[in-house]
Amino acid sequence: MIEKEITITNKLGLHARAAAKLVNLAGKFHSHITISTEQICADAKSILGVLTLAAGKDTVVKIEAEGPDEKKSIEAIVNLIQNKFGED
Amino acid sequence: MFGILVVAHGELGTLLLETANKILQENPENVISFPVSWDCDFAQTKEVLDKKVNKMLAETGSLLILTDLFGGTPTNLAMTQFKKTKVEILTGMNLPILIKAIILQKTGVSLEECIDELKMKGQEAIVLVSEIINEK
Repeated sequence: MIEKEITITNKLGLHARAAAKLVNLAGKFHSHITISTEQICADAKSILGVLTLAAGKDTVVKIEAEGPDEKKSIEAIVNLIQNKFGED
Repeated sequence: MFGILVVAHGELGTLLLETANKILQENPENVISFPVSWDCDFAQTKEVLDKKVNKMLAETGSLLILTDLFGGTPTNLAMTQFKKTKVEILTGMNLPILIKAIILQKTGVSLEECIDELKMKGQEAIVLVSEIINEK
């Protein structure tokens, strides 16, 4: 299993459209992927789950992946978050 | 695959559907809004709905009808379709239910398999914020 912490930096945080992008991306990998804040852990492949994090700008989230493509999946998701979901 | 028909007061269903599609960045097939105007004639609207439901059933095999308010005219209209086989009516629709329904439809799961999950997810998505966040 691989994990990585990253800060959400786009202005609107992990809002609905950003969550949809993250879930679409996570869904391309075979690994089991979760995203969590200090309070809540969600399946990164479930949009309603990801939205329950209510992760605004500057929230630190932890991405964990376990499976055959865990490294690639973490890299891709971290890249999406670092690129502010293509926003701002 | 099942079809999804959103039956609601005025433009509510159309706007919910537009919002879901905007969030998911999709334009899914066989997901249609059926607006019920405030001054609709029940019998006439029922006829139009009947044709729409039959057409969608012919295309998809089964149909999920989402309505806004139990006891309201859109739901009462939808309930006229209840006896048709392969039709499920879920009322008290919200945006999370619609988003989840569109996602599940795309996976190819049958309506029978996912209807309970849809109801549950819609209820779970109603959150009293003060119950999950203590700081104010």
